[in-house]
Amino acid sequence: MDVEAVRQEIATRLNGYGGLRAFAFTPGPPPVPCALVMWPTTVEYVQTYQRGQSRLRDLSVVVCVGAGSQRAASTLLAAYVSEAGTKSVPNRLETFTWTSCDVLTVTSCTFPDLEIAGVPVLAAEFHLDITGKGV
Amino acid sequence: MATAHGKQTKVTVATKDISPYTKTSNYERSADFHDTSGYGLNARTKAGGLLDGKFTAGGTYDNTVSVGPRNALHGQVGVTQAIVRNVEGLGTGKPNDAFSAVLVKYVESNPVDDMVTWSAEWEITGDVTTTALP
Repeated sequence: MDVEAVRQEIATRLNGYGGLRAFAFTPGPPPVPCALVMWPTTVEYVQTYQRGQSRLRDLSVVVCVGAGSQRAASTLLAAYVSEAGTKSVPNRLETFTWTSCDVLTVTSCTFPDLEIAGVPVLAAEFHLDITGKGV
Repeated sequence: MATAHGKQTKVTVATKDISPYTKTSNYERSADFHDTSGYGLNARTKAGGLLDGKFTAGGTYDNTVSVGPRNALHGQVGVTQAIVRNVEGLGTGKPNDAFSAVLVKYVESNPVDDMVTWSAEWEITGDVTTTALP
């Protein structure tokens, strides 16, 4: 798999969805709401003979909404985190035929403490498990 | 003398290269033995008989047309297939085992939280021809 092609395809899939601006890099400072496609925790090569398959473990997509003190930000984040609905990030990623990889699974979501320009923001971190062809 | 890593293994079944979908395989050879003991001995004597063998493989399910495990194996249970196994991968002088085997079992497993996997078992029929790759 081409890891950069996977990250770019995820960003393309999310860009404009539910008002998100999606990036496969970290702009400074990122506009909100935004989706930042990060790097996997591990790239596992040689999953089968002859380097036939590889796996990206725990690739993060961080969705940031506005300052946590705003009620609207909380409602918006809940919509992105939900499994269904017009802003559901898991549903958006799961219901797509990928070309850069074979299977993409949104396994979980956590809520990190983040700041943008020193201001705490509400954020959700989606954890993805991705498999695809090796060489 | 050199060791070998399993990642180089190549497995072809009925001319289909299933290596990209295979994570593990086992090649087993065995032989009958017959007791030739007679009176006056302190220990048994034995003689070799017919050879036998099994081959098993398994890995990550893939629906690739023709050469993916589902298309290459599903529906072939009970069929005699030509198998070529390269235990050290490809390269001049490396071993090449060729044999026919009856596919006696094919299993697909679907856990909710991981990839679909497959496994298969073959019973070797006839001789195994071992040569060195050119």
